[in-house]
Amino acid sequence: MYVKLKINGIETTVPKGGTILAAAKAASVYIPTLCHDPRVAPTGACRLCVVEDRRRPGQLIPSCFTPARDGMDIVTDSPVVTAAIREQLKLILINHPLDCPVCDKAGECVLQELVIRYGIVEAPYTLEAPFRPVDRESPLIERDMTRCVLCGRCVRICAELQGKGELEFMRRGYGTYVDTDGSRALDCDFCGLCISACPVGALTDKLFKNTTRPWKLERRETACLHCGLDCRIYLNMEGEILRRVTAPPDKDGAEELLCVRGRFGWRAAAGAVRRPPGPWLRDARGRRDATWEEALDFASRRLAEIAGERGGGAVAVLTADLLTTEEAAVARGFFRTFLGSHDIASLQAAGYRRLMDQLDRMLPSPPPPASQEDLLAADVLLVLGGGAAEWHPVLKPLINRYRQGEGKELIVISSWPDYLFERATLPVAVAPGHLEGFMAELQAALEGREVASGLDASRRGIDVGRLARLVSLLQGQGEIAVLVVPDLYARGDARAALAASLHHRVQRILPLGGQFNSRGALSAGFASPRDFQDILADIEMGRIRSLYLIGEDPLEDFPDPQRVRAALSRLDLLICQAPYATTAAEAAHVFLPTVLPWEKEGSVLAVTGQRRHLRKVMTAPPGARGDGEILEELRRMMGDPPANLPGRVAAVGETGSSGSPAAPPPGSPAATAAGGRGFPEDRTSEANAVGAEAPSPAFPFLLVPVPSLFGDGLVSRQSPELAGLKGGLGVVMNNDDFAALNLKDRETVWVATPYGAAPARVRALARIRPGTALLLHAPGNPEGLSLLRSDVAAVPAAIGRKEAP
Amino acid sequence: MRNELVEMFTEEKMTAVDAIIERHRDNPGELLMVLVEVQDITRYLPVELQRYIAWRMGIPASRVYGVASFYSYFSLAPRGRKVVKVCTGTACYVKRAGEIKERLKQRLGLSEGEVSADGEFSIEEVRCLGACGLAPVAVIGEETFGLINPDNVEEILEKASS
Ligand code: SF4
Ligand code: SF4
Ligand code: SF4
Ligand code: FES
Ligand code: FES
Repeated sequence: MYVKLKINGIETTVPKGGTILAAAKAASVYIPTLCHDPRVAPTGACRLCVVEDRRRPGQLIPSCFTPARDGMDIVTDSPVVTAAIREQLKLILINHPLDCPVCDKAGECVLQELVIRYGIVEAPYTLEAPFRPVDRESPLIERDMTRCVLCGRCVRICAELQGKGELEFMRRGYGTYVDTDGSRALDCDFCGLCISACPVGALTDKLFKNTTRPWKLERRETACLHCGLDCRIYLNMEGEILRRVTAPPDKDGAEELLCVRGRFGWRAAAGAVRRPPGPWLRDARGRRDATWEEALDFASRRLAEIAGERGGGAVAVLTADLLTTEEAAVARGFFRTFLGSHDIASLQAAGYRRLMDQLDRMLPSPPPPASQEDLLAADVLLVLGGGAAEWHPVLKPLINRYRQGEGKELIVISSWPDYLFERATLPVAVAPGHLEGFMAELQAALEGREVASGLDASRRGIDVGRLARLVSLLQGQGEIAVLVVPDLYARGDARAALAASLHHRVQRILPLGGQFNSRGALSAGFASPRDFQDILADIEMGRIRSLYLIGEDPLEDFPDPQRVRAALSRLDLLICQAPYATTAAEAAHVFLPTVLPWEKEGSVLAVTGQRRHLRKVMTAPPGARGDGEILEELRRMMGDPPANLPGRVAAVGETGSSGSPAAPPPGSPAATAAGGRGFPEDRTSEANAVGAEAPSPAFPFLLVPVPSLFGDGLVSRQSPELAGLKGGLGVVMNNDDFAALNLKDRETVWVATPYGAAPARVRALARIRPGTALLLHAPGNPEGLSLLRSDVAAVPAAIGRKEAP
Repeated sequence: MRNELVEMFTEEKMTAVDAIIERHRDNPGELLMVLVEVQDITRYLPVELQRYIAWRMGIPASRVYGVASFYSYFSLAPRGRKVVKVCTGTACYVKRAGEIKERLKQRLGLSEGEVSADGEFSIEEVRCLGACGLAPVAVIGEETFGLINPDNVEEILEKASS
């Protein structure tokens, strides 16, 4: 259904319901706007977008929210319209300081452009200046409301899209201003969407402040490094200096969505971060700087010796998925085919890889791509597990867009009130530690192996009415898309199995938790049924003698660092190849500094399945090399494959597809199930085994490690801004538990589990189940990691003000 | 958070506040009702109390503040037992409401937003009470006084105190 009308005499059409503004855009006719933001609902605050219908001269129509109608004959530049716009601009200028020379927005300010375009040279009106707050205290964002034109774009985008409601109109009438309650500093998601919406210099990026002028910037397109959604970003470069990150325009000309990591986490790659200037070696005499030749010579000799003596199976690899897809193929060729290693695992993407691996086995074909549009098109979004929008924060605005659609259902099954759970049309709360068990039972019920009412709902803390509705939605007519969300450290096999079992009636299955190029790495053949839990056990048993780290650090990204440290010290060879020198680098025999993805060229595959080719957009530090280049060089130096490799047979037998090995390689825990670490056949018993230990009087809480909005990954952790927002280890409790312990917001408390104790900053949240506490920012924090155990979704804990027990 | 509020308002009052929040907790749309009922108990809504309400109801504190600061019905600062509201709407204004307000302030020894030492009076400006026929108008406590003039403010204060 289309509407036909004329704009300045040009015939044009818009879909029914489209605005006059949209019709003008289609006809390439300019209409000034200030309060209009295509990403949010129009409010008609500024009246700069007025037009006239020739059939009703003199009557001004705000075009941004007036629907186009058949036969309209719109004119956008009549004397009446132009006079109204000029008058309106003069009124806006009453309360606008003309401080463009010191305003960071100058050069990209909508008001400045309009004032110049309409030639407003005099300010005929004066009024007493109303109270307007200025906030220079908040991190990352500066708010100078003396420049605010009250367009409300920030208020709407924060509430409608980010779902936060941090900014609000305060007071009323002439005294209105935009602020937080009591003019406090921002305490929000720091997505910066409000900055991207503000047409003037009232909300600005503090990192950019006083650095340069917008017209000096060159925009280079690349992808965000901080999670596997690979959001498109523009690096705003002044020469070779990165000044800020913005998003490219979407189809309506507004900025695409970004989260705090994408917009503010760029100093992880530029500026503040210390990157090692060259390789080093460590021997009995200690650490010494080395040339690349020395370092590679040592690494290749030792690798050849170990693989030659013990077989390629004695070498395990951990990669952080910062490799391009081409480099991943090189890595696979080098480690799997050439050295004969069985294990290419990941720590930061462990949950994602495992979900993908499980789905790969159970589905007739690998999960097809699921773009953002595909998700928006679904009728029912089923989210298996908590933390989807914490792993990938742009899902917040995206899912809010989805929810704005008619009759959309959002089902979230989670054991903690994550962002999506709080906004679900059908939230299903499962007691911590029971999630996997519940998924398995639900699958059985849906397959008719067990009736839904037979689910042991009360034991798992589930509302029976909700369960019935869940089952009926899954069996209904709507198009279903499934998001499968991994836990931070526990395996999510049952949720993968549930998703796979739904495949015949589900349009899209999208596993989450992937890092920068996790999907690309899998497409290059990194799939493996074994994860670091298995590798760690093999190191302890002496079966694995060498660990090759590519951008990973098991001392920073795995529970129980003491155990990991002891295991690493047993290794004959620890190679650390990474852009940053993190904890493991200090323990490594060889350290090889690498470039970051922005500093090289190659393709990436987002978790949603979109492939992109990325250009090199930044200069690499002089001492660093590309990962692919390093591995190719090692292979060249090693010459022939190490001889007599027992492990080679299995490796060569593999097909080149992204496929999974037909059988677990020899020596893998699946083959030694007596070790108790293999794949449990019985998923229900697994739920009990890995779920959680019961709370006790000494440890009355259940502590659930959850992903952080500010990024848990190793790259995110290098950003001073993101680290600052995290503020160290955090624990979040139920309101009443918090009040009962008489705690103060953000005070430091002690968190103790049977495994360790650590100080953490405490906050309280509505709607957390009493007795549950969330642990934030454990990755990268040795004390935090020492509270946990791998493959446990929740641990018993005590929380209090007293000193460590 | 609650402890500070108990110090400000007493445990008894905060228990009543909690009961109100509890009743509306699952319907964030009833925020306005919550604020009205809470103010009936606490007489004003300091920002700490607003944040507490937001926190218990699971809604943004900014939204609570936006609503509380929008309606003149709500007071963010302490109020006297009797609030003197002087209308400065158009009709009252042209009939010397400004002068009346000044006189009242003088007489009570208060500026706007202050409470008299005995906790009895505070003074506020309001816009049009919808009684323009009686302009100028002032409301003291629950009682409305019309057709007043700068010289009889003493009288109405006395009447209101009796
Ligand atoms: S940064 Fe994001 S969450 Fe914070 S106020 Fe702006 S839009 Fe809202
Ligand atoms: S701060 Fe900017 S976006 Fe927000 S209302 Fe003011 S001018 Fe508009
Ligand atoms: S959602 Fe992921 S890719 Fe997108 S901006 Fe945030 S961290 Fe970067
Ligand atoms: S752009 Fe239409 S009213 Fe502001
Ligand atoms: S102006 Fe005072 S009552 Fe209307």
